[in-house]
Amino acid sequence: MENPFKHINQPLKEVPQELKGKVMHDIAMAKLLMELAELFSYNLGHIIDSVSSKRKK
Amino acid sequence: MTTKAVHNLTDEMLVEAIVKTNDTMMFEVLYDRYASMVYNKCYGFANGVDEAKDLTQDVFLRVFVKLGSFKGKSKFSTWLYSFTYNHCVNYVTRNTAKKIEKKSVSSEHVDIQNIGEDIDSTREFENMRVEQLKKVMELIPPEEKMIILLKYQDNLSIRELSEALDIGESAVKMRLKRAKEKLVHKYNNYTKDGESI
Repeated sequence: MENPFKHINQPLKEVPQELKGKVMHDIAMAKLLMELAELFSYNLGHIIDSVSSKRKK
Repeated sequence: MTTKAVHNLTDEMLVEAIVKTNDTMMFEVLYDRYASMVYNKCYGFANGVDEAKDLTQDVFLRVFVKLGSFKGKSKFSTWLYSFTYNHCVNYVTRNTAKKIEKKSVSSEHVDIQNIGEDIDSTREFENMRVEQLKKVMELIPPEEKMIILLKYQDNLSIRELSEALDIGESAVKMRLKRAKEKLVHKYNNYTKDGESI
């Protein structure tokens, strides 16, 4: 006998076409916000790295 | 990277590239690979198409933001399955304030040793009818539904479940055992009126 859990979500529902557009729009917005946030923040790891590498010289 | 090259990447390589570049075109490829899986898992927890669409949209947005937290310890699909279920369960239980807790397993240590390898077995389920099982799955709490689906539908190992749920392996075994027992009990006492005794 087979494992019935493999069949309880069958047949698979088709993903609505319009969903992809909505998701990609969300992603574009998220990317913009993440990049803006990055613009106004410090990358401390990078700063420490660059300072310590300059000191060695 | 050319479109063809992107399509040939494994999931894990694709994720690594997205984390490095935040490239939305690459994320689109990831969406195409997993939209059906995520949508259908959300559908299993949602009340209808609209709710399933909203849940799927939220899952992909959160995945994009949290992709950096995927460390490659498990397959990407495993990570995504548990990410999706966690989101759905939190959504379903949002009003009952019963978010997934990292419960301590105080009384759960007692008979952990006796759970043994039985937990992997699907013997109890083999004679179950799919239609009835589907209905009974709606009668158990979402957290238990999640752990049962992750284990017996998506074949996550105890270790993968432990990482996905952020609880110990013995706690996973105990939760699975309880969920399994509850499900079998509800199934056996299921009446045609749609209620389980």
